[in-house]
Amino acid sequence: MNKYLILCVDDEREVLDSVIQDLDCFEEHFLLEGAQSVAEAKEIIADAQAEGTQLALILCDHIMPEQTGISFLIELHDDKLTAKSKKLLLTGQAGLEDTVEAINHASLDFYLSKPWGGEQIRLTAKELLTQYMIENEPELMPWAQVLDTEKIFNAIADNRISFGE
Amino acid sequence: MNQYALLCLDNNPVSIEQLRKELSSFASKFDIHCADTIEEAHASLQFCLDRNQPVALVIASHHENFNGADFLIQLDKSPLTQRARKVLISCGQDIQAILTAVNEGRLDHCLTKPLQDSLVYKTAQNELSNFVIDEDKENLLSYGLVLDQQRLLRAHIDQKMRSYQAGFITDHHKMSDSDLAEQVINALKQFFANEDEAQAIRHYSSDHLLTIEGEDNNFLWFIISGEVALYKKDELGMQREVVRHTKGNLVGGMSFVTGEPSFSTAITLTNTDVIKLDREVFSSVMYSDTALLPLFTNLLLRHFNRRLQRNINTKLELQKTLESLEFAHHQLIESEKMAMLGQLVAGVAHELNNPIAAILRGTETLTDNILQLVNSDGKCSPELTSHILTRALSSRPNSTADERQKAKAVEQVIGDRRLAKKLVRLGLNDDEMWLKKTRSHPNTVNDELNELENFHVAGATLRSINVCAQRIADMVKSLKGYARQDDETFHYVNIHEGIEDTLVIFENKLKIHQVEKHYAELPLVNCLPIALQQVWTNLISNAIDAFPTHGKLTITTRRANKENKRWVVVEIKDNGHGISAELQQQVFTLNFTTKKEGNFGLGIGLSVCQQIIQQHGGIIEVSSSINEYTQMSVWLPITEQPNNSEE
Repeated sequence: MNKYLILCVDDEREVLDSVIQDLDCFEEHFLLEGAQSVAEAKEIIADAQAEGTQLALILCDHIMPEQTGISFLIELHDDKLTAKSKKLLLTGQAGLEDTVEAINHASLDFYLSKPWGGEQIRLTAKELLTQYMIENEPELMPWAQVLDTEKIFNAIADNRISFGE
Repeated sequence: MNQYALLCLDNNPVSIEQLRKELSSFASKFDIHCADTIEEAHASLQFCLDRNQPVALVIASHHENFNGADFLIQLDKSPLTQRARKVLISCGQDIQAILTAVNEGRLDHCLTKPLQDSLVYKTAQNELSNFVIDEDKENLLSYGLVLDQQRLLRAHIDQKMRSYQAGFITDHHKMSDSDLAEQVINALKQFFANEDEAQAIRHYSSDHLLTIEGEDNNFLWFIISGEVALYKKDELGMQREVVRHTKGNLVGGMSFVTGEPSFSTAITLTNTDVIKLDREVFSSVMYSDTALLPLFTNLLLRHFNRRLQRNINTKLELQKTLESLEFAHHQLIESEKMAMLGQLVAGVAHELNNPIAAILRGTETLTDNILQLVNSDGKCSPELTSHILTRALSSRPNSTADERQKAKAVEQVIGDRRLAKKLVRLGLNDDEMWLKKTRSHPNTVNDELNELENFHVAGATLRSINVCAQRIADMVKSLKGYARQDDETFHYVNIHEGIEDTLVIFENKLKIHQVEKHYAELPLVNCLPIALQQVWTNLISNAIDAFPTHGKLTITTRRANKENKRWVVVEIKDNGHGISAELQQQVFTLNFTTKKEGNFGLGIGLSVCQQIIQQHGGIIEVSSSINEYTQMSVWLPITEQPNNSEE
């Protein structure tokens, strides 16, 4: 089973900790990391890539010092290695303009507003990760028990059919 | 037939002949009747009455057998003879008859015989002059050859002067404006009807310029029909319509009379008929008809008086408008406050989301966590678990970067990343015993670490909830600072507190920018703290709106001396797009805004700031350089705090 990175970015430590706490259940099969700034997040992604670990999902706050979440997500989308990563914006206050910009740059997969619910964030993460795997992971079978089983089996079946032809 | 008759009677043929001779020189202007009996005199009188000819003078002789006095007395009966001058010629013996004639017949003159040469002539001339001066004022000069020329001339001049003067004062006030105008126009039209060499009567189509503001004007226009608008430039160079003139109004009056440049620009709005006069034509018109001058003077007086009335009315209107404006202004300031508060609250509500989210997540985590703690099977010693709990409760967590660094180091030693991360998180990464144990029995350690982690999560979550609640409390406190009572009173406060509170409110917007604070030691300032809060909020909000991508807000406080006074100066500076020199003049005016709608407040922030600061006896200044910076400096006077102020 290949290793993938889930990365949470928020400049507020308390918020960051609670996101990581909520996603604790993924730690077993994923590399789950938190970063307090965009710079740190970039470092983590680079480190992971050096070890051959790709970024599968990023959950990012919007209003942060140095760089806003949306501009970071757009940057990730423009980078070949992270273009396919699922991108979730977790914020209480992205303006309409910013959000539209992110969507138009195809760099936003999901928008979750603060405060969020634990179950809600886990389900969303699972859904996004399932999509990511179906689109990117050649060896889908092991992920069936970790992520959305039905969708992954359907995808495997679809693959067989297309290979059969 | 002459206009008036003259009658004399005497029963003495010699006398009557002498009278006839002496009176003959008046024959050219008066019909002369001579009678030598009372009967004949009555017949002559009747003749005049029949012809409806007034009698100017009666000269009657009186003596014992000839009652001339009675004849004079009965003249009073008829209106045609009533006014006649009466002269009695007596023999000097009958005083009683003379007195009766005086008493009852208003005798004008009395002569006694014997008559000297030409005495009758002189008397008659004098009396006739009296008569015509009273009765035939209009034609005095025509009697010049036969009567007292000097007197008539003087009377004529006096009378002309009188009527002339009266023309200025009386007469015209009874006329309405339009009647007066009509009269002047008609008189002028009549004057130019015969000869109009200068083409005074003109027709203009619309958009014809009569006068130009500030330029010389040599003409006076009477508007006969149509409409003319007067315009004046205001200080900004904008043409403002002052008044519209129609029939009977004057244009160019002021400059025509004073010779000053035109006060306004006059343009015809419609087809307009005018009488255009230059000075020369004007004076020739006025000389030609003396009745016109008072008429015109009156018109001009009215013209200017109406203008004055209009001004006074306008002034009253303006005063009313000013009052309602002041009221509206007050309301506007209230609305600005509300708009600002609304936006502040919206911003803060957003800002509250972060700590609230963390608290909500924390309680959910704790709810699950507590069950695990209660059901924990005690793999680790109570000392260790309580140590882990208190550590997580009391200490700030290391930065995520730090933790990762350490986890990597531990991973090198024990060869398992997840365990390494857990050890680091629990603060056990420097414990040799734990490192060894992890290497030798990774599975047992994993169970123990999971149990310890439950305690760590409980502590860390409680701590996080506490921190977040504190932040919410801080924000609410700074918001409360805006809950301003209208009767806020002056008191001594540290103005840094207000500035800090404002920065908390804007924390969210300032997060992605740089804030530099240079606070000096300052004395307490006597102020309205909440009003000042509004000032800081406006200034900081303006700075934020002006920020480039990487904004920098510099807040400097210092003391200064100026004009022999001590001041506290607060400078709020941004590195934004700056304000041009021309606009710097305008930023404090009401309704000046460069911001788009939807921005902070109503766009009257700076003018409100200025008012608040003036209320404090302070000054607000702006200095700026395009594309470099804008700095707003607020000067507040330092006043000695009274020492005896005891609460």
